[in-house]
Amino acid sequence: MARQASRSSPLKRVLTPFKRRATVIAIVEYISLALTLILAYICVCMGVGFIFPFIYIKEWIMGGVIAIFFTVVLVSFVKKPNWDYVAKSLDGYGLEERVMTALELEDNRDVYANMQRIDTLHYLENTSPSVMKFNIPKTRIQAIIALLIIIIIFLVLPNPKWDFVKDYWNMRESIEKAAREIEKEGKEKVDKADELSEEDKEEIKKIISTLANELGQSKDYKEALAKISKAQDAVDRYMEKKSDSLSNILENQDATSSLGAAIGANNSRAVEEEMDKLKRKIQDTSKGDNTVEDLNNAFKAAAEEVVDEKLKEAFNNMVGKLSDFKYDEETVNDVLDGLEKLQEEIVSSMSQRGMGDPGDIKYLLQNMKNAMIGSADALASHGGYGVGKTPEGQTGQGDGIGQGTGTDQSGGTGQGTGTGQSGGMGQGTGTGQSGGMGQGDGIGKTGHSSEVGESHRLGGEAEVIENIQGNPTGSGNIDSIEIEGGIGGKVGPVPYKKVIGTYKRQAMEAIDRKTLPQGLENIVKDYFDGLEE
Amino acid sequence: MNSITSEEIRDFSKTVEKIEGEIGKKIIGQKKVIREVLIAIFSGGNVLLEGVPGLGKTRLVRTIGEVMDLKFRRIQFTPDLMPADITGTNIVMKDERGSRFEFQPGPLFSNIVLADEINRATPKTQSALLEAMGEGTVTVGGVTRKLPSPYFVLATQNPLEQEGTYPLPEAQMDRFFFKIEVDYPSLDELHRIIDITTVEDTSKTEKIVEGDEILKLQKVAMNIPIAKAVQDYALRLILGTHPENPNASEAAVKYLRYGSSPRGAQTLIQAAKVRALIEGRYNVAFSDIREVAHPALRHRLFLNFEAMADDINVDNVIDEIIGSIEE
Repeated sequence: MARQASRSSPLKRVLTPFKRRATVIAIVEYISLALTLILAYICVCMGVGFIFPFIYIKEWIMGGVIAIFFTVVLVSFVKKPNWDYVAKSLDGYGLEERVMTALELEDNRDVYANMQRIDTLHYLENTSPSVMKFNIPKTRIQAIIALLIIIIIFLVLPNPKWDFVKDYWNMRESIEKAAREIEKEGKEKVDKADELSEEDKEEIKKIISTLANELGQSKDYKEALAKISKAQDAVDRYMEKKSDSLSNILENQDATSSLGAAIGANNSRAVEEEMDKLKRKIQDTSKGDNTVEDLNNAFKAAAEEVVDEKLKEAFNNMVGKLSDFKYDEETVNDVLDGLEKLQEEIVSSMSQRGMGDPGDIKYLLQNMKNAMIGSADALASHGGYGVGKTPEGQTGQGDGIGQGTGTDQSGGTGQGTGTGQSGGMGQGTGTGQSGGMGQGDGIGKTGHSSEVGESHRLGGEAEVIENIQGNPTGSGNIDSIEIEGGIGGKVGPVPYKKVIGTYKRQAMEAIDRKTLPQGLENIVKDYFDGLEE
Repeated sequence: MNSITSEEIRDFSKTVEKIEGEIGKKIIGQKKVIREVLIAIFSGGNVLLEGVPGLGKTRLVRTIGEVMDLKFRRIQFTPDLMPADITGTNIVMKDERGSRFEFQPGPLFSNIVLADEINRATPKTQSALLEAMGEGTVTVGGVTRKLPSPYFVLATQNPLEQEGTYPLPEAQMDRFFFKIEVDYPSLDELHRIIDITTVEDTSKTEKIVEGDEILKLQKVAMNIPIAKAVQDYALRLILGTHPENPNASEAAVKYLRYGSSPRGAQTLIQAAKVRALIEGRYNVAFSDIREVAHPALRHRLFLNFEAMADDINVDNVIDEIIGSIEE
């Protein structure tokens, strides 16, 4: 009650316009203070930006400005003018402590307090609120002007570190653009890939989406490249897993359990042996046993599961033949031919195990990587981002492409390329992909680190080709090639389906590395696509 | 307090104005000195006037006595003046009933005592003033006698002639409410002084107030309100004079041996109240404190050797201290 009485007291009523005025003055003063602090902060940030490459200068400035602004607002709210402040301010304008005394004696009713109050009210009624002046200290105004001049000088002066910052942001932009492109193009390609089931498409789209999200958060090319490599690995793993599912299905069927095990072991010789056994079984089959029926069921299950269109077709073909099996010589031979084709497709599929490129996704990813490596090289060429970040003497890791030659285990020589991570000095070791199993030293491209690092080849190691067979035709289409001199290996023609996957992959990598002459990339790609058809 | 009316409060400044007007008839110029003496009187304090001879100190005190209708006595202090000479003594009286001791009051028994050239008397005699100034009583032969009320001692001292003088001890100085410095008059004032003093003096002063009224006015002034911030300012000013105080001003630390006693703070506040009322204000302002700081503190601060070596006087130090204390 006493408080309410005080609020509505004549003194407070008369003082209210003065309080409003004091509030406005305080706001203006706090704004000037905030402005001074903000300008000083910007000056410091810009000054630091001249000494060090201040990559996040805009973010720091924005954050600092917001923090200062809200701090000053908070302080101004906490220290907003109260009655005592108003009284003191007014007394300073010639009221000689009348107001502060009157406020203290507000609830006092003795003769002195009454007279003092009347005297104060009399003075206040004859005083205009405009008597309270805006009082921004001169030094503050001078400081604001000086800081503005310094900021203008900073803006006008060429900042040697600014190019670096711009390069960094260009890099970020290109990474983000790459992320968007990967997401868009990748999904389009996956949608168009007929060889993939809906489940596969969803799974690969998920990998692409994850990559796009992670790429957007990458701080540099190194990180972006690592993430793309991770996505490539994820695609490989998924495809391998799908291959494994074929062996599992066949392994679960009594008629094809051994064949499934051979496929699972990725042993092409064992697969051929098992297929021979199946052929013999078909030759020996007679009405009354369940060989044909069991085999038909197994192939039917496999046809439903496999991803590879040609393999699927081969299985379906076998299902059709076995369904119409009539235990005569003609159908037996027909089935044996079918089994031969199926064997070729299985072996071919095994040779491309984990190397398939559904919807050209891996090709797309590798292209992105190459583009980024090119950008990183350009950046590094003018002393750009990432150079010298690793202290001397420590092992660093960078991205680069290794190329090398190697000798395979069988004594043959091979030549191969491998994309790997190399040291920033550009010297790297890469395991090359060769006709034999090769390993060699290669020169990597300039990476982001100043240290020598280990390079890793893109993709898995080359398969050791031990048993090469084939029929050279001498002219026209070459269905097989001949390799000589491998230790422990057989000399002879090799079905091209066995090696086409490897060669196509090498060709694609060569296109990606831009090692082929310009304009020939599409010709090479079309050639290998044509061979697969 | 209940007996004080708003009219009495309002009339205070008018009364003082009238008194100043009457004194002005006899004293030319010296308005500041007159104002400070009146502040001390309405605060119930004693005053030490310091100035060279011939500046009208005695005339001022005499005129005040006349205007206020108070019993005035002047004592010329000399080295052979004995305490009994000012307090009074028991003397043997003979009459038809025989001989007996009877107390013969000294000049202290009046309302306004002018102790002229107080520093010429011995400390023994100076000390005889202590009880009168502090307690308003005089004790002779074991009997304490009350002095008339109101009671003021206005002492003078000559700052120049220091030979054969006895500087007042600190304890006695502290009992003076104000120490007022009387300065030379200006040329214009000198003209007017000559005009009225070298011809027959026909000017008459009127009695404005009587003893009881003075006591009432003292009571009125005592209750003037003071805001906490203003009181705090006055007390910080006092603490600022203490060289050992962590918040002491630089000047205090450098030039002072001792700062003001709490009696200095009482003086500051009380004198500021009277000044506010004389100015027609019903509250004490920071300016009141500043205005009375010099007479209230200049005899309560004791300079050190460095101040003397640097030719710094106590008023300079007070100015510095005032400048260093925020309102």
